[in-house]
Amino acid sequence: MRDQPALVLLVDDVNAIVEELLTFMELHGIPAIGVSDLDEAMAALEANPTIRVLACDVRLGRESGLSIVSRIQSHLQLRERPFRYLFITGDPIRTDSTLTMPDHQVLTKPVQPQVLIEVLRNLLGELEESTQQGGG
Amino acid sequence: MKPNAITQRDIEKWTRCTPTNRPGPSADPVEGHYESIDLDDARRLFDNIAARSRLADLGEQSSALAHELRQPLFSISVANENLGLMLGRPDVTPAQLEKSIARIAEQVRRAQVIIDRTLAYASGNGPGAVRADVALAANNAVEFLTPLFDAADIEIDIRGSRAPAPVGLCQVETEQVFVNILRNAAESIEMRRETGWVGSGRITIDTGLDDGDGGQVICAIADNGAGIAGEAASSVFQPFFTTKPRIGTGLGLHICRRVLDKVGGTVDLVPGENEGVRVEIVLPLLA
Repeated sequence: MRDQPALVLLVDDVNAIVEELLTFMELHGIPAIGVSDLDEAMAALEANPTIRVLACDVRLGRESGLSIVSRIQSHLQLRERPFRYLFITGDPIRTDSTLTMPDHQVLTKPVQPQVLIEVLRNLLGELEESTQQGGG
Repeated sequence: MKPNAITQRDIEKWTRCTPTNRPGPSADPVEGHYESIDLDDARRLFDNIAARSRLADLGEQSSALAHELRQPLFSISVANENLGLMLGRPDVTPAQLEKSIARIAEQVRRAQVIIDRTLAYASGNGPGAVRADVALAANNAVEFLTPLFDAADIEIDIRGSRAPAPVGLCQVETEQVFVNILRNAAESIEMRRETGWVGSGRITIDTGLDDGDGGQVICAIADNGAGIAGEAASSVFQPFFTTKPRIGTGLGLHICRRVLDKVGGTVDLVPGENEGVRVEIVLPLLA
């Protein structure tokens, strides 16, 4: 499974959560890779053109996971890719009023694993459908 | 009434037991003004108010603690789900199962550490001996408040000596001194941001040992927050003085001074020239 091109990028600064979620997604047949901060996330997105869903923790040390949106929007190549966003948070989300958020979903920690897998499948399915509709 | 609420009666009793600079019929110009004080009563009242102040700290920390506990709970939840999925698969090795079991145990321990640390602080039940390590107390206070610092995007810079600096206080009350000072620093940074400042919040803790004259430990905690005007700076150690009446008890720095007084220590606040304040603690080292 880990040899297949990744469809999901997981971003969380807690190593234990990244490891367990990668195992969890692998057991459910969803190829994914994990990173711990936004710099690594941007590098992973550039290196993995198959990634379509971002599952991102909101509190990443001193960074806000929400700012991945603006970083992608200001990236010449990545902003052309149709990502779906899932934010995972342990707190009420405080959005930056200057940030234009695309459609996104929010789950609160501790997320029920079955709910998480259902949301990921929906996000991957939505993208599949929109790609097929766009293609003809 | 909340169990940690500080009542008007407490305030009146505390004010009677606390030296002030107010002139009065029996004022002593050197020692300050006291009414008749039973020292045991005063000590009990101080312990009581300090305990309530710790509970108030805990209340303010509750959302941050919830956030902190959600991390191990999430890991446990997913690891448990993984175990269930792997048990039904023939291609899974015992090592993979053991890894998930170990993960659950590790994350339960992590949650337990968070809970133990919190309860020890709230109850005042640290190591019982009247001997505290100042550097450890500063580190533990930073750890206790880390969720607050992370949420407020405040960088903590710990400098200076890490050598053991034993002083004649209980560990928990020494930690309370640091928690009170660090929380004030964080709130001052938040107050500065409310005025439109967008700089990086920073708190520096600098500890040093002075071997001369019996030995003492000197610790300075500096922030780059809103600071405090000179006139108010002279009142911050008075009981019930606060710059944030909505959330503060006005006892934090007063408790710090009383705790340090017990062993001949001092605490002073020096306003920064352009920003923030520096709080300086000096404590005699135990022989």
